[in-house]
Amino acid sequence: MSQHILIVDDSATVRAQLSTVLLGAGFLVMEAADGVEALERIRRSGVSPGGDNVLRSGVSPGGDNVLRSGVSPGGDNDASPPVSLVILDVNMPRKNGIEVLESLHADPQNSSIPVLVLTTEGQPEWIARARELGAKGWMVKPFRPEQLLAAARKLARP
Amino acid sequence: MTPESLPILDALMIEVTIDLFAGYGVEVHYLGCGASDPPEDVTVAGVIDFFGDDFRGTLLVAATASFFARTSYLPPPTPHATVLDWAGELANQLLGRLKNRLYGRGITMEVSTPKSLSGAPLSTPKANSTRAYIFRDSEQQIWVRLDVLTSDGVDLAHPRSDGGEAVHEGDLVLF
Repeated sequence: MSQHILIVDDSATVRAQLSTVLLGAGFLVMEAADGVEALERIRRSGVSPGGDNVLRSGVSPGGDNVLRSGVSPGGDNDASPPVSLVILDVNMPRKNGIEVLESLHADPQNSSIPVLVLTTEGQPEWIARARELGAKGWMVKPFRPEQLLAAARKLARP
Repeated sequence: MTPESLPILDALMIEVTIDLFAGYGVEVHYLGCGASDPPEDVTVAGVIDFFGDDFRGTLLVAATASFFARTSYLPPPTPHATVLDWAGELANQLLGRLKNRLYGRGITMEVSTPKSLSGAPLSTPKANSTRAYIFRDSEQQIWVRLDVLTSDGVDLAHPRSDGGEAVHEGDLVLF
């Protein structure tokens, strides 16, 4: 399996928790700490990698197989692997999750990337808005590992 | 806020705190309302603000660094930066639970991004609007403080008129 999941959350601890679960199930993981980083990572995805940011597998979270947005050694021109699924928080600095969905929705190149929202928010109006913007699912924190993996396997594109 | 709303708010706060930590495998018990400042061994706190037309203020959750490390589900040793990050995230998740409960009672609010702090002793300004709740697990105390200002007419005793409810924690909705 070589599906890459982009985890977008401003909490490094949550990103590490998610990475632990996803890596253990065979997914590869990229991280972004806010919506701006996430959109930059997505913008760079799908382009042939330049070398330095090729992911390695089988290392624990925080290790070499987690690709953090903005810290690749090769600089801003590095490519990212194609994103199979985005796991997206809502309440984040700089650009929140709904704004990320709006940006993706308006971008024909990336509007088909599946997005699973993972947030503390549970208001129906927010969920309806996310659905309008093309999100594929909404999960209210805390996540249960088996449920998260079931959703990831269902939603991640090959 | 109506007089009958205050005990409802207290009950919700106690419920969501117990539920939050149960979700991370830690059983906490409510001890009661305490002094406005936490015990001296409580040195880490997560803080988050909320704001809306009828309900605004700050929520703070404080405990020892070892408590936060224990609930993070990450392998030890836990760096202090991780403890601080997790304290902020727990404040965010605790407020999220309260926000989702209050939604069903007609209260809506926006939230800030969380912050965290550490030091000893932790001291915070006191106000008439302060509610402080003390909890304990098998090893130590957890201290939750809610500073809230509400409009006079806020009534938590009744569900919202349209019957709407927020999605509950741990629930997954696929579209």
